[in-house]
Amino acid sequence: MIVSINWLKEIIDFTLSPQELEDGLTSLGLECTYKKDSISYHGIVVGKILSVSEIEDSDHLNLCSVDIGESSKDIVCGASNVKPGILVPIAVPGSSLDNGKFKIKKAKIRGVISNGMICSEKELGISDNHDGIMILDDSFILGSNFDISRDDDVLDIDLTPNRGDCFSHLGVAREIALLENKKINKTNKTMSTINSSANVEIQIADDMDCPRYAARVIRGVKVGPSPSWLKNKIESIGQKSINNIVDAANYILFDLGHPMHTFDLDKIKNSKIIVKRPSEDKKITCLDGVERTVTKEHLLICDDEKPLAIAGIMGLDNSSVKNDTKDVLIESAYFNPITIRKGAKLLDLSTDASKRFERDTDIESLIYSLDTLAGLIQEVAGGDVCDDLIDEYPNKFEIEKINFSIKDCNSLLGTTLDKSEILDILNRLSISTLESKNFIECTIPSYRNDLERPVDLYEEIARVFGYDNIPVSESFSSSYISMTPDRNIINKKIANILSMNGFNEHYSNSLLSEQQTSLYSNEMDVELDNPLSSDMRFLRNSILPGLAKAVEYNMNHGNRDFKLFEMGEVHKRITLKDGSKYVQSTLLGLSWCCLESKDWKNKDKFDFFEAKGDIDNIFQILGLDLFYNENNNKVDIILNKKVIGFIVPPNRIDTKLLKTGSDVYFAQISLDDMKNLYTNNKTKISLPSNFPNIERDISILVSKDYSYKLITDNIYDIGGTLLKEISLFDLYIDKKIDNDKHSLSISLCFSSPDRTLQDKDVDILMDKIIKELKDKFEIIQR
Amino acid sequence: MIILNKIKEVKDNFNLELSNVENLDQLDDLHNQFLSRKGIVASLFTMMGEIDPSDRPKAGNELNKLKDFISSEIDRNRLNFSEEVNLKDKFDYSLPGKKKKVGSVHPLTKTISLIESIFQKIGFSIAYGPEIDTDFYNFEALNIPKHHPARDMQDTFYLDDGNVLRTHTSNSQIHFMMENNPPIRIIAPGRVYRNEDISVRSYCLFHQIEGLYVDKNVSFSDLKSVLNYFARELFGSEVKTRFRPSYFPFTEPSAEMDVYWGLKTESDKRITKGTGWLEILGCGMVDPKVFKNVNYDSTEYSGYAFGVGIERIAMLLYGVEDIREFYKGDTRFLGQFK
Repeated sequence: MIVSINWLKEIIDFTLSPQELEDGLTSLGLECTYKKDSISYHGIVVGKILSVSEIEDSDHLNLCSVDIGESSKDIVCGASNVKPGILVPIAVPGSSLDNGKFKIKKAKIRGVISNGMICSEKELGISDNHDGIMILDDSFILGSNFDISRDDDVLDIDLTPNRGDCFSHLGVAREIALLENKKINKTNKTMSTINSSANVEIQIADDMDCPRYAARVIRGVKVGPSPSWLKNKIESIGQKSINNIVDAANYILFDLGHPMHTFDLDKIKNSKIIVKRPSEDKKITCLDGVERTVTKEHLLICDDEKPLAIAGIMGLDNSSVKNDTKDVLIESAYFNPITIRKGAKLLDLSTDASKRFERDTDIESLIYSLDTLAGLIQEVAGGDVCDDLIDEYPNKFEIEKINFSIKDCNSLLGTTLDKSEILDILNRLSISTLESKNFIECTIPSYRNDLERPVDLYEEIARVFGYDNIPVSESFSSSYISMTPDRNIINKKIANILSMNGFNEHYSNSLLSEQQTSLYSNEMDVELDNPLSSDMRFLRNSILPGLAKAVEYNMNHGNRDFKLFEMGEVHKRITLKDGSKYVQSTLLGLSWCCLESKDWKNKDKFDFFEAKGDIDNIFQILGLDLFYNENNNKVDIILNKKVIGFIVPPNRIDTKLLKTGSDVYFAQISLDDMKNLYTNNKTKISLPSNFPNIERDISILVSKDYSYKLITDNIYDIGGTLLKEISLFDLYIDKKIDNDKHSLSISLCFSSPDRTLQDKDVDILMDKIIKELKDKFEIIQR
Repeated sequence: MIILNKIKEVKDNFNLELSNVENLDQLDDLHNQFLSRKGIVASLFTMMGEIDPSDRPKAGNELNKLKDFISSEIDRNRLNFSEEVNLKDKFDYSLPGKKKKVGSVHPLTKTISLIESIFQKIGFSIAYGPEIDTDFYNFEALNIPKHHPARDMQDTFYLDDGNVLRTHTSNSQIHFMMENNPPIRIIAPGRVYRNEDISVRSYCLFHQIEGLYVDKNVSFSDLKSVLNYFARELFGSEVKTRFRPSYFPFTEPSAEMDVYWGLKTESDKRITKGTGWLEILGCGMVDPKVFKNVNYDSTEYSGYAFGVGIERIAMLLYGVEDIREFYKGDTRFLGQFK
């Protein structure tokens, strides 16, 4: 919300500098920034266009003869709204725009000399309006220096939703009054009434929607442009001047905060106002010319036969004040904030009126606002105000009373305020007080709808006293019983392991397109009802699409040797008889994109076993044993007989996941499954043997049909407790010998806990092992 | 025994020859002369067969000692010529070592860990809330009724059954209080979603850490001091903070904490909107209505809550100006967070 400092000064006499005002209001909870009104042009004069002639062979360029007081100049102008007789701002040679960055010089355009430029509002830096040149009104003097700085600074206030009472200059002035400990000047516009009846009937269908509806009639107004003071006021806060009636209503809106609507009385059939909801959906044309559909959720202001306005949101075109309007009905009503909010949300429409009504307005002040507006309209548009005030207020609102406890207030805030300090603050807030034995009974002003409970008042005390004046406590109390272990400790451990092993951690967007989702779809995808765009319609069901996107991004940017990982939540929706259940699980995603390692010491081509080694490494550090099993297009990772993840080799990657990537590996692992096993896994340390190890190497030629795991499982079985570890140290395929066989070189490490193993002990075992391998796997020892 | 004399003679001879060695080539020659398969020591071993079997163990022992002595002397002397080795072989120690990929944890993970550790030091535990939640946990229980303007503060993603993608980690407060009794000291990090257009300063999702502290006699003073401690740990002991009134439906009084960032550079001016102050977090005393919604007695317990935007802190800590950088996955960016 923009407020003008000059305007505020009319309501309260204050001495604070704009900077102090900014700090002070911010410290009261009205976060604001101060904007100085400054001009960016220099040397612009007011000129009058004498004649306009089209330049031949140019695309709508005109040569204008312009009177700038002492002389006239020829200036080329391309704007379509240029015409003889209008006053315009002229940038003559020597003047400048955009804070001196754009200097105006004599120039030749299409062979014609142009002695300057006729400016648009945008070129002058006044507004973003670039629809033609700026046309000045008669208040500007021909030949004079053009200057429309208003000598007024503004505050831009970011109002929180609870402070509807501050949605006006009056509301902000009340807060300034708190800062300066002063009272505001509240002056009534004088209004003279005539002894004439308005003859208007009001019917409210449901006083839940509209607890109060008041109106006045002014007869014989003359609709026309606003006087310049009013126009300036409206423009000073960035609004557009329309006509004297609309400007007057807007002025009171921004001044007092109560939104009112003006109707052309002649358009109200039978002078009857009915406040009701439509019985069915209706198409209506609003005063902005847009057709909208209202439903039973909308409250309408109707006459005997048609809607006239969407209550509290926007009037309709059929009854708005136009140039020929003679008699005006001013509506000043209080609408239920929820009704207005629902209605505005359904229309996706937020207006100055609806914003205020949905933040709640002051039901008791609406007559004051009404009379002030009537007085102002009379002043700027003439007419006579009928003396009968129409005021439908069937059930008067009760005045809010709250019991304030000094003790509770101090203990909540950690302060030691005494009664007189508290009473002083309450008094400054215009809260009247009545002291009793245990508490202070507070009567809340009707504009403070946000104050309902003692705690609301304690906040008022805190903000007026100053949050920064509240003392800080010196010690911190902790509690043993509130301490619980972090259930995601394993994730942190894995992130460390991976980052120490060359992986960069990635965070991807967890909202995916339908195509990305379809890859790992299990018919349980979570779809958003109101996605930001169609490519972010699903909550991710896999961690891989996000990783793939990052891989692609990197490849497109020339990064060709990297490993990425991501940990994150994925979701599925399980449909039950009575609704649905959502299951959230945490996944680890890994990707390897090692297209060229470019290292003189590592010339091995990246392959599956490098990726597998990285995964093995995580599980080894966590002390978990895992297995792999080929399954269709991927290799399953198995922990405790359960498939907890998979590796996708490059030739099996769906092009929907990654378009190009002949050498990229992906893996996905369930962190939840790992977590359960890890937390139950107690580390047991076995003492190393005091006796030396013995190693034996063998090389065997064996058919590829027998897996390494199968062969080593058999060796372990025979080796028994003495065989500690088997390592594969070479694998060789000699195509000349047999393409279906490979040669494995295996090292076996033996050790005994209670004696030094002798060669013969190991020889016996080795013989047995080799015999078994020959029998079972037809190996040839090499 | 002749052989023992022979051994001594060989040893003396070796020592003499060694003292004349001047470079590595000569040392290698010496090695060959004494230790090669047809060298002097080997020839002594062949003499073993000729001596009396009863003398063999002693002679063998002496001969082995000689062999070890010569071998270790040659090795030891080899070191003396190492500089010469370097000169001769042009061994370039500046060649790169075997490349090990250097990984990194994500700046947001780093920031979350940092904040977690700050609060864990003073006894806060870590809790988590779900990303998909009901309207009750995300809004109603937090005193944000339907059709309240406060809902405009957070543009929400809805599912067709009325559930929401949580708009803040404050839902963790409700989950935790529903399942536990006071005293409570938790922080709850996590991902939250907002239906907002993606730009330099905002993304459709981001991360927050929620804090909740509930006990008897907790006051606004306690809130101020714990958050001042947090700001000092995060930005250094000289940091200046201010608290100003704000509005959150689930806290009363509500506040925002700013830190003084300064106005030294153009970027300072831009991010502080020319005020020098930078908003860091929202906080306040837990609203009695929230306690009522989780069946706590607000006359017995009071508490404070706060919420910190992780991206915002990370952008400040690391000087990142565009929030979208965090989600691109560019390894040239990620690789810098070691």
